[in-house]
Amino acid sequence: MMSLTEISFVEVVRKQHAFKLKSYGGVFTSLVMIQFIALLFSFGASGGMGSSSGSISYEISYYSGWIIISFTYLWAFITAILITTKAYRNDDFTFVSNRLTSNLSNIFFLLTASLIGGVTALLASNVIKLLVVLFYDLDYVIGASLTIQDFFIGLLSTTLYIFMFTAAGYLVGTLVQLHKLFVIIIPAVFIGGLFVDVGQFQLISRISEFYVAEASFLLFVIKSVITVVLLFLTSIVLSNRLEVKQ
Amino acid sequence: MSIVFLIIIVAILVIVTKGKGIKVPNFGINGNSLLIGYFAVLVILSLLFYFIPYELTPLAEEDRLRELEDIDAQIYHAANNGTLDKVDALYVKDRWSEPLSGNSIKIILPEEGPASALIYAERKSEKDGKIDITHYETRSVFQDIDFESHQLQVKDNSVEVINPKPIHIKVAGLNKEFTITQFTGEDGYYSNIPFTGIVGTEVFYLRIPKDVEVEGDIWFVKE
Repeated sequence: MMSLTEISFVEVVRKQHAFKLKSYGGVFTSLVMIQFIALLFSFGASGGMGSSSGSISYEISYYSGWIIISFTYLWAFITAILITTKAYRNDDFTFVSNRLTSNLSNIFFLLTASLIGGVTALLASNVIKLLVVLFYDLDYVIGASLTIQDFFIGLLSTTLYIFMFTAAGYLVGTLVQLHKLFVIIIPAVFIGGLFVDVGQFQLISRISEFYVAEASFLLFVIKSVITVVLLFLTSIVLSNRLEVKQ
Repeated sequence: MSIVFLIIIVAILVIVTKGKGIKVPNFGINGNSLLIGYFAVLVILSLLFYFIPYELTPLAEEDRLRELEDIDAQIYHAANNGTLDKVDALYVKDRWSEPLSGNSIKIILPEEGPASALIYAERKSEKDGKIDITHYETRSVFQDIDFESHQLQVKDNSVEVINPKPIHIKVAGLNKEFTITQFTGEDGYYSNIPFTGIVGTEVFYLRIPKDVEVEGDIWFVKE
């Protein structure tokens, strides 16, 4: 009996996840659009410098996929907020489900979306470089070749960053569903965090440094997985209160 | 950028609290089909990026740049001290003599000054009616790219220094994404690939006959 219950629970989550992948097409339409816009922005250099010495002068423009990756973070954050809204929650009523299966299927959907976002963001970064090399009038191209190992490190870390943004967005969305006052509180806390000093650094910089300054890939994976688990766990606990409230 | 992001997020938060919330619009497009098409295009273009024949200019090695800087410094000091004859023959690009017809020569420098060349002179003890020129040069290295040298022409009792043609180089630096460099030991967040190099030293050393007068701006290391 116990095993039957477990199977049906897993089955419900699996079916909801499959349903969401099929029916939340707008999420992927918006991903394609936002990455396309970011691609256009990235086609201008992300930085540059110039200098001259004697009869030699040079200008160097730098290109990378950081705009695409940043836009994908934004997309992930907003998508996660949106799927906590009633408009999406009502879809779950088409299944025999409870709050937990709904949350878990959402989390798996966000994980899948993060992976898709990570892969496409990294591939789109290559596309910028291709367009630069093909269409710009250049004398020289400098840079290091991307190895397969680099690509997979980038793929996993970008996906984890995006997944962290979805986890943060999911928590923000859940809080806002819990009480509208959070629409004011959350941005206020964020803006405050930009200025409040912790030690010698601002709170937000301190938090982001905890991840971006981590040079060990293994430690980064551990940090981000723990963060994601904590954020989603908090959201699940809070969303149970939401159900009681409604 | 982060302010714009913040405004967008606040707007979204306000919208989602209204009524039943919103769904991400799909603009009448099948999102999954669009994604598959987009993914296919990205894969094809990414593969193309690895196969198109463009050449990454190698970075100049730090050790090599330091070595070249040391050589430049040695030549500069030797020129100032009048000991260029002791400089390694390796750095002598050319050595030649030109006959002089009168008792004076005029030194003509480019209007904007020599781009990166130094001109020194020494009085010979002889009155042999010819000017001896030695052209010393160390390499200009910009990411392993070589550049042309200054020229010195002796004509109608004038010595003219001609700058190399100005070169403007357009370079694209293809940075790895910060989600990669964070772990690969390369420079971290938002860092750029260094574009390094040095412009080599050029010295024209003129040995002028004792009885020839010199008109123009020139530094005599040995009168």
